[in-house]
Amino acid sequence: MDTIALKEQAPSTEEPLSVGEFSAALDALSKDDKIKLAMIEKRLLGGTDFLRGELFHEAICRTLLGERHCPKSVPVMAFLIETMRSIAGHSRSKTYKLVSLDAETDALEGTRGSLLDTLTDEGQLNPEECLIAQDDAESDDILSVMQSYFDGEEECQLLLLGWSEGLRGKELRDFLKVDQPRLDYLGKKVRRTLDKHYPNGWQK
Amino acid sequence: MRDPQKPSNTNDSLSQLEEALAQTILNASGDELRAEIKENGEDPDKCIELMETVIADAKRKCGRKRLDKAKEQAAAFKAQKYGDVVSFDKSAAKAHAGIIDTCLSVETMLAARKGKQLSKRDEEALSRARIKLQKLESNSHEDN
Repeated sequence: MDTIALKEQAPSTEEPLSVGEFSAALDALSKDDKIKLAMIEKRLLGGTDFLRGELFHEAICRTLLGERHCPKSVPVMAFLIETMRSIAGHSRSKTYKLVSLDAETDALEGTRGSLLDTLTDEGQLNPEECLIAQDDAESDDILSVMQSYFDGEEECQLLLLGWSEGLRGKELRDFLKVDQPRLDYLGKKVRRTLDKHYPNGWQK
Repeated sequence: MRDPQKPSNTNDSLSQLEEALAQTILNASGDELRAEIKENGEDPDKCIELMETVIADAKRKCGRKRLDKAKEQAAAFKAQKYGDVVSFDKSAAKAHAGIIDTCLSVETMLAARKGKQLSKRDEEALSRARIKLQKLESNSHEDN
């Protein structure tokens, strides 16, 4: 089976697929490809206003209308996933900004407690830095909660840690001290467990 | 310098984790994923159907948008190229031709009478033709 690496994308200066070529590439997606895209799309929906199918639809439309360009050397699957991820990210930051403004107003009015008040009261950080710190603290919490789903399963906990630190391939195998088949098994196990707890991803 | 592959904060950590999980989905076999979808109480065929519907719908909508855009561009091009040409008004041309016919027939009659005075009928026909011509010209000015 050909593997599709999400990280190995060519620079955007490369000649992109034409509308016709991109359209033909969509037609050439296999049923397995479509299942994979559906599963990945579902994971990216958390914290966005998109429903199932809509994020994928948006990614295709932006490409067919020339707002996004798929470089010829990048597999269409990888391109679609990165495009969905980018659109979802923008959608979240738009929502985040709206929430942040509310949070800032609340903090100024003294109606919101927690870390935000504590840090601003102590004059350590400005409100914007406080929100980032709070966000990081919440992300830390998410990682800790994820680790707790694998209590007593050290390999799975190490895998989570390695993934979150950006380790891949040989680096990751060395970190866990396992071979590739074992790594594949652990990867599947971790994903399935997290899917149960976060069916639409954990992004806010 | 920081390794770009390495996360700088926890938000990056979660993104790295998300990417690794997506990679495990890409590396998995179709059968494995179908089994997982079923375990989660969903129908894998419905997932495929949804993706196919989305692709077809996106292609149709974008095709229409591209066509509309092309039409706008064609209209803009045409307006730019032929903008100073006055369109041909068939009915006005016909009316003009009618007036010219009248004048010619009066001229013919006059010639038949060897250049002698116009008959009352000739004068009336010419007068009607002059009124028609004035009317046409005033309509033409209003249009412009």
